[in-house]
Amino acid sequence: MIKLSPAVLQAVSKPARYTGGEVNAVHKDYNKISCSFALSMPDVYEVGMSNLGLKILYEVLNSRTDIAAERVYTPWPDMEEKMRENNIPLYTLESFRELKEFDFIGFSLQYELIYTNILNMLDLAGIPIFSKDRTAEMPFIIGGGPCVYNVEPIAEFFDFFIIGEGEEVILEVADAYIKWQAQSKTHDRVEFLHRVAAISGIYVPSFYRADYYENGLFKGLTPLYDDIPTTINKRVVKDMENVLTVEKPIVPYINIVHDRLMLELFRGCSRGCRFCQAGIAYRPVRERSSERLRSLAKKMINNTGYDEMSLTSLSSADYSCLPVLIDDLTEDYTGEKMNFSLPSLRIDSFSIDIAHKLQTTRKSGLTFAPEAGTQRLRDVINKGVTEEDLLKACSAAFKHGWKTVKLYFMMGLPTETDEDVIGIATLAEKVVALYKEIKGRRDVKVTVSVSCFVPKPFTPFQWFGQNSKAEFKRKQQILKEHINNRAIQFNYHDSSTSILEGIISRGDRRLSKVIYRAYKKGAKFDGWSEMFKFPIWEEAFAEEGIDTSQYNLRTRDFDEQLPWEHTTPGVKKQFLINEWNKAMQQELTHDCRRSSCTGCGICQALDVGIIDWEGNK
Amino acid sequence: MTVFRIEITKEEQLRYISHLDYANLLQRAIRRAGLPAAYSEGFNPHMKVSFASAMAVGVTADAEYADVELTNNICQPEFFDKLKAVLPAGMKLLRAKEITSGRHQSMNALVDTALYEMKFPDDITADELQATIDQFNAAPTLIFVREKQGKGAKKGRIIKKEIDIKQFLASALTAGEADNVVLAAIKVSPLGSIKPIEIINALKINYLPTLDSNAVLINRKTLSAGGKNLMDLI
Ligand code: SF4
Repeated sequence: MIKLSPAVLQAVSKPARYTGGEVNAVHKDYNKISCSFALSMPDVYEVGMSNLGLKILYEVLNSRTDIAAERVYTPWPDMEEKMRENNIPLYTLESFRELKEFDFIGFSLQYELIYTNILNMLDLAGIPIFSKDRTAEMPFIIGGGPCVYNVEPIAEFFDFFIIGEGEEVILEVADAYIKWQAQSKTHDRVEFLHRVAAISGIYVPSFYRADYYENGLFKGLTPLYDDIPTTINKRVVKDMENVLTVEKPIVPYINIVHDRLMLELFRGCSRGCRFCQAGIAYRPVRERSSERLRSLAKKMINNTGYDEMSLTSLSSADYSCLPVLIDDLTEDYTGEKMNFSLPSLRIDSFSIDIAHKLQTTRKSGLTFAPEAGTQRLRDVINKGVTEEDLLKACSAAFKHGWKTVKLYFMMGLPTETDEDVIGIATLAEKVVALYKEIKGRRDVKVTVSVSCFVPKPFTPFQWFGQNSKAEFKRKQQILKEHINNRAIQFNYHDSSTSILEGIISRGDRRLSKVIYRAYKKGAKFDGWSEMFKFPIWEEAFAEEGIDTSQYNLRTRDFDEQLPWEHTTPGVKKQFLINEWNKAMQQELTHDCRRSSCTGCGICQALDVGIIDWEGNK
Repeated sequence: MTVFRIEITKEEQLRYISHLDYANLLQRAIRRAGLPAAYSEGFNPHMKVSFASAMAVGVTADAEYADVELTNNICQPEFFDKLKAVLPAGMKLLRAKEITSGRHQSMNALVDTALYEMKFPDDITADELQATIDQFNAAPTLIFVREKQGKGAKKGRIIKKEIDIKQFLASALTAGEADNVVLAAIKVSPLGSIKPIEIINALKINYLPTLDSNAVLINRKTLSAGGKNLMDLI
C-alpha cells in the first residue's frame, strides 16, 4: 500500500486529487477478490471523474462480490515530479495499491490527444509501454471508449481493446480471466489473449499483421491465427431498460468538470449528421422508459445529495417521453432545490420551452449548434436545420428572457467556400438583429465558437482531406474580418491540435512509434492548450520519417483499404459512400428513429433494434 | 424555522479539501439525510448554512462549527441521528444544539481565538524545536513578509506586506504533549489574523533553515469566543 507523506501532498496543487476516500467510493476486501481492475481516464482527476462510461463500468464491476474496480487518473505534472522524485509508483484511489498489482488496467479513450498520458502513466506504474515487453505477472492493458473505431495508432501499447459498449462485455472478460486463472498451468499471456479474443467485441492487436504498399499506403491487416476474426463488430446493449447502470456515483470532495448527476435517457442518435462519428458509433437509438429513469433519478439523488442533474444523451430533446419525464421529476422535487438541465439543445422552440421550464432558477446562456453558416453547407452535412429554425428558436429564447446565445460552428467541412465562412458572420448578425427587434434593446451577447473540422473514421467524410493549417488560418482571418458587431464575440483557436487529431484519428500502426517518441520528448496533456507543444510532434514525425499529409490532407479513394475497417460499429461501407455522394448533391437523409430505415446496416449486422417509446418500435 | 448549531470534525481524510468543498460536502450530506434545509431566495438559491471560519487546505480540525437553518421544526435527537448517519468519513458530528434565542449573532463575528497544533517532521529534533520556541518567545517582534497577488490596478504584481507575527498571538508558543508538536493560540479579529503556515514559514526563515514547511501537519484544536466554546454561547 502506498503511503503519501504530507511533504509530497502539501507541495502540489489540489492534493485531494490524489487522496481518494470520497463518498460512495467502493473499498473491497481483497481476500474475496478473484479479479481486479484499475479503471482510468488518462487525464486529470476533475476530467476523469466526470466521465459517464467509467462511472458505469465502476458500478457494474463492483456489483460483483468477486471483482474489485478502482480508479486512477493522470497526476498533474507537479505531482508527477514529486512521485518520480520519491519513487512513488502510480496507485489507485481506493486501496492505494500499486497499479502493477492489478489484473487489468482499463483506459477510457476519449480523444486522441491524451494518448501520451497513457504512456506516461504506464511508465509511472513501472509497466512496460509496449505490450510485447510485458511479462506474465503484469496486468493486461485494455482500451475502450469512442476512439476504438481506430485504435491502430496505439495498437502496440495495448494488450486488447473493447469495441463498443463495455458494460456487458467487461464482465465476460472478467469471467474469462477468473476461469483462466483457475485452469491455466502456464499463466502465459498469449494463452489468455486467445481466450479473450474469442469474446465478441474484443480486438487483440498483436494477433494481426499490418502490411503496406511500397508507396507507403496501407495494404491490409491479416489475422495471424485461424481462430481470430478478421473484423470485430462493436458490442451494443440490447436491453437498455434492465442493464446495470449508475445508481450510486461517487461524490467527489473537490469540484470536478461536470459536478452533477448524469441521467442517461437513451443511447444513440439517428439524425445522421455526416460529420459526426458518435452518430454512427452509438446507433441504433435505444431509450429507457420514463418510469425507469424516474426511479434511477431518485436513487441517485438519495445516494449522493447532489442538487443538480443533467439529462444526458447525444440529443436529449429527442427523447420521446421528455415532457412526461420532466413533469414527473419536477413533481418529485417541488419545494426542494433541485436543478435539472439538458446538455444539448435542439434548434427548435420545443427545446426552448423545455429549457425554460427546467431553468426556472438559472438563466445562463443557451447553446445551439448550427455547425455551418449557409443552408447549402448545412445540407451537405445533413444538419436538418434551417435559418428559420434557428431564428425561431432564438426568438423563443429571447421572449423567455435569455440574452446570451452561444453558436457552435465548424470550419473546413467538405465543399466549404469562403461564402460559407462569411455566412457564419451573417447568421450571427441576424440573431443580434432579431434580439433588437423583439426586445428593442441592444444588450444581447452572441458568442460564435468555431472549431476546425477533423474528419473521423466511419463517417461519410472519412475519405475527405482535412484543410491545411494555412487554409484554416486564412478562413479564420476572413471570418474575423466579417465580424464587426460588438455584440458578437468570436472564439476560435489555433488549428494545430485539430491537425494533430486529424493525423492520429485516421492514422495506422506506424504512428505508435511517433506517439512513443513524442512522449519521450516530453509531450503530455496534449489536449490542454497551455501544455500542447506542436513542435515536439513535428520533430517526432520527422524523426520517424512519417509524411503526415498522407494521413490527414490526402483525399482517399473509396476502394482504398482503410487502416481502421476491422474494428467497426457495424455500418455498411456502401451506406457511407452513398451518404458522401448525397452530400455532394446537397441531398438530405431523414432520421430513421420514427420513420423508415435508411439502410446504415447496423441493426441488421448486430441484430439489435431501435427502442423508441413513442414510435413503439 | 429552526437553527441548529453543529460541532463537526475535519479529519485526516479531509485535510486537503478547501473550505468551499468542505461546505459542499456538508450540504450534500444534509440533503442525503433528507433534512428540511432552508434556502435563500433569488436567482441562485443556496442552502442556509454558515460556518464559524474558513479552514485552509492542508489543515484538519478537532472542531468546526456551522449553523444550519431548517424550514420545519424537528427535534434535536432526530436531527443528530439523521445527520450523523450520512456524514462522510473524516467529518464526525460531535454535538448539535438548537439555537433557541430569537436572535443569534453570526459566529464569524464572535470568534476571537483559534488554537492550533503544528506537528513538525522527525528530522527536526526535540531540542531544536524547544530552542526555536524559546527564541521565538524571547524575540520582541518577528516580522514576516506576506506576498499577495495584486488586484485591480495592481494586477499582475506581487504586493508585499510586512507583518509582525507576534501581534497576532494570544499567548506564547508552547510545546505540546506529543512529540514535536508546537501549540499556537492565534488571535482572530476583523482586523486580520495570521495563518499557521505563516508562523511555520517564519520559524523556518529565522530559526529552522532545514525545515520542509510542507512536512508540518497543522491541526486546529479549538475555536473560541471570549474564552468560551461556541456551543456554549447559545
Ligand atoms: S439500420 Fe436502419 S434503422 Fe437501424 S440505425 Fe441504421 S438506418 Fe436506422
